[in-house]
Amino acid sequence: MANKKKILILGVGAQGSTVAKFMDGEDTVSEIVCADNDEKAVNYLVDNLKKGSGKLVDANSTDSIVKAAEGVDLIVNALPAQFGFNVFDAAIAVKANYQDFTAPDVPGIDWVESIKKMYTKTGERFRAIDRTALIATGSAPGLINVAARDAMRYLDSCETIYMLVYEGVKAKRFLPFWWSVETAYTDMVDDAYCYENGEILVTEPFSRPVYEKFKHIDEEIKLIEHAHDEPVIMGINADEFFRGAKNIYFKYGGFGVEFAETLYKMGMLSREPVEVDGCKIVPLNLAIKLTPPAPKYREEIQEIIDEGLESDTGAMVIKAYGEKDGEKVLVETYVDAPGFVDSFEKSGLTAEMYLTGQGGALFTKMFADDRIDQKGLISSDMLTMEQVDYYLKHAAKLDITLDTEVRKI
Amino acid sequence: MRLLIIGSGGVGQSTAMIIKLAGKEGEWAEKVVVSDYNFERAEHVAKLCGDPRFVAEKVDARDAKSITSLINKHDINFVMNAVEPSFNENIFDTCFECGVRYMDCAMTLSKRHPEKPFELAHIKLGDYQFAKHEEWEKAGLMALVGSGVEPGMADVFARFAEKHLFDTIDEVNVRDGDNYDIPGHEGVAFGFSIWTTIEECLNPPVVWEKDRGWFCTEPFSEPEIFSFPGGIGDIEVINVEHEEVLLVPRVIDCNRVTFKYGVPEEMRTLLLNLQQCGMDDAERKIKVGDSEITPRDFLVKVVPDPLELAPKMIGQGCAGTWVTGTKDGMRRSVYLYQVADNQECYKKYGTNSVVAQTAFGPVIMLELIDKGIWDLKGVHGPESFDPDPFIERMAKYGFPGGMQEKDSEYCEMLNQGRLLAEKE
Repeated sequence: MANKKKILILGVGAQGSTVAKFMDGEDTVSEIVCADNDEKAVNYLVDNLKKGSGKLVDANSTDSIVKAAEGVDLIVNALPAQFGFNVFDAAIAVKANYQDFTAPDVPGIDWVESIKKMYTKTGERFRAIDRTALIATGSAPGLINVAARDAMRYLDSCETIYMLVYEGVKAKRFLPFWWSVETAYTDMVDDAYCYENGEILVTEPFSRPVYEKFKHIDEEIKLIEHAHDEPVIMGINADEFFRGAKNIYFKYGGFGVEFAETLYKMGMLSREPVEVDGCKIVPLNLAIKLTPPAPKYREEIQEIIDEGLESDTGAMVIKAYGEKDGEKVLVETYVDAPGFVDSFEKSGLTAEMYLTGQGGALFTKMFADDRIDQKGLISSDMLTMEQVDYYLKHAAKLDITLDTEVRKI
Repeated sequence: MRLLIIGSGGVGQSTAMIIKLAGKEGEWAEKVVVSDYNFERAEHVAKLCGDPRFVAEKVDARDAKSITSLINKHDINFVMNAVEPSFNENIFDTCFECGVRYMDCAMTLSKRHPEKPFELAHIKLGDYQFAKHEEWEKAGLMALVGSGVEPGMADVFARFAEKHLFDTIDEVNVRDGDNYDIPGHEGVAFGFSIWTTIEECLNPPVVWEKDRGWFCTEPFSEPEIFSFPGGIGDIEVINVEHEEVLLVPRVIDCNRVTFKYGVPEEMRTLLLNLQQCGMDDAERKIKVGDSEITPRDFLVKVVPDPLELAPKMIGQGCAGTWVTGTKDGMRRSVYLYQVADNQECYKKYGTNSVVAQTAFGPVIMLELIDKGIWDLKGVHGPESFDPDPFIERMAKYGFPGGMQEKDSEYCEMLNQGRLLAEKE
């Protein structure tokens, strides 16, 4: 059995709390330090853990993180992306492993270049202390990257990978997003990326639509370009981990996307101030102000379920086109996971929180179980096939499974 | 006529240009004061006309004093209101106070029923104005309301159908559709006032039936496919709140009046989304940072002005009135219409065809009023007047109308007659 680990969870929102609760039940964990700048949220979480302790942290300060991280084996960074580099520094200072949900962001620096440097320079720093930083470990990125890796088993060479995510849960009340409205809108208007003909390209938000008929959904779904990590990190790793794929796309659809697209096309998600009667107002700020927030608490989610959902569906699908034994094939993988109501019944969480939190927790478990033996900085798409198997074996226990079909084309 | 046009947006600009381009036929307009809150816009329109009769002024349509001072300064004897209908009450009342005749293209606004908004009509379009009919009549003044294309020309068509085409009328159904496209444009495009589009599309549509009177339905209700002439073809149209439904039954004896418009599915979704999060709200002030704004007023500033998109838009728009009833004991069904081409309108008037179409009707009506051909005191819609002189002038002003005999017993009789006539 692996040595028992002490874990620091930085940020006790939906994702951090889910990881903490999951790891609380793991024999390989000795202590879970829950840290945030919100004391009430920390205490609430700690009160619900057997192995929990709490700390207040200011993530703007590396020193503050270092103090909270003394003696831990792993820091799980569940904070917004802008704090990523502070947490890297703290992890290196205390010689801890590192895990996050999305690739860290450095304001003012080209994102693609910063990720490339992260693999090399930050990777070197972690290698130097014989530790691992594992980035992009939620559901997408995270679980979807593992599923894409798994699809590579069925190919000798790969040409194109589509990662398709459809959020089809629709409440009776007007509720376009199941997570932070601010994050949703800002993600929606950020430049998107695709990996095309072996190059990472910037694409316009909501552009290049594809229309997909998912096997369990009657209507054809429109999915568009959306700012996400996968095409960038998988593009960088295409030769080594994705059978030389030349094209990698992330496409996103759903009611929230359609809603945001209408606002975007009207200019209502612009960050440029508009003058009205002598007052300057940023359209995005008005959009955020008027859009109802996502439900956070159990009672709110229960109320929405009690009202009845207009639809409780969704899809996470990987389509990998390539060759096997000289023939052109399509590997189509559906990630099957609990829907909205199922997720709530299992965990008191929305499907979005459930999949992201549990998808991330499985990576934390792999650290705790000594299953991550690479050193330096890796992303969730760089697992070995043995690691992929381990991840998926434990995902199945959470009713998260892959349904893969290989077809000649 | 010494005319004050309040509002130099698409309709105001088109009105001025149509008068100007009419040449000698437009000389009934002795002076045209083109005014706007944005003086530069008014100045731009006056310069486009390039004629000393057209002068630019700044006006604040919310301020009676501002309007009165222009009326006095230029000795105005007729005001055309070409701004958003939220300003109507103030302009209408100010004209009355000044003893000046009045015209608008959209009537005073409705208020939905507090308990059953999608069932019962409450304060209807134009109620505020028609409530003052007697005052205007006693004062010997005319207020011509709802006098654009729809409402306006559509109402004239209904009256024309009653006068010449039918013995009895069953339904008067205004139908509007287009095949507009803006190649390469991926954003949202509104054909006319964004403020008004939101108002009329998201308000509960009103329908009139002889037995029930006025009643309301859910937005975008009763979809039907209507086949439009002019190469536009079949389009799904849906119920929209519009003035004709309030105007026509006051004057024309019929059983049912509706207004349906071809709002594309994408636009319907967009409008409903705006409504869901309150961005359509024209009354509530929202605090954003240190500022307070009304969401709809803010949207108007953010969304591309229809005028800016006009040069790129291609295609035709059809406005018209579909009338059913009987003639000579046979069922008859007729669509009276006007088709306008956007590129042609842009070249002639510098505006899109939607607003140009809206403007030509008022220009004809202004001429008829100036010449005393249309002369009634009080508050009236265009169906109150003799339609013939209007119909006669449509082509002269560059907007010829048409009539489509739709399938019916009467149409069959006409068709049979045509066949025999060909033989002869």
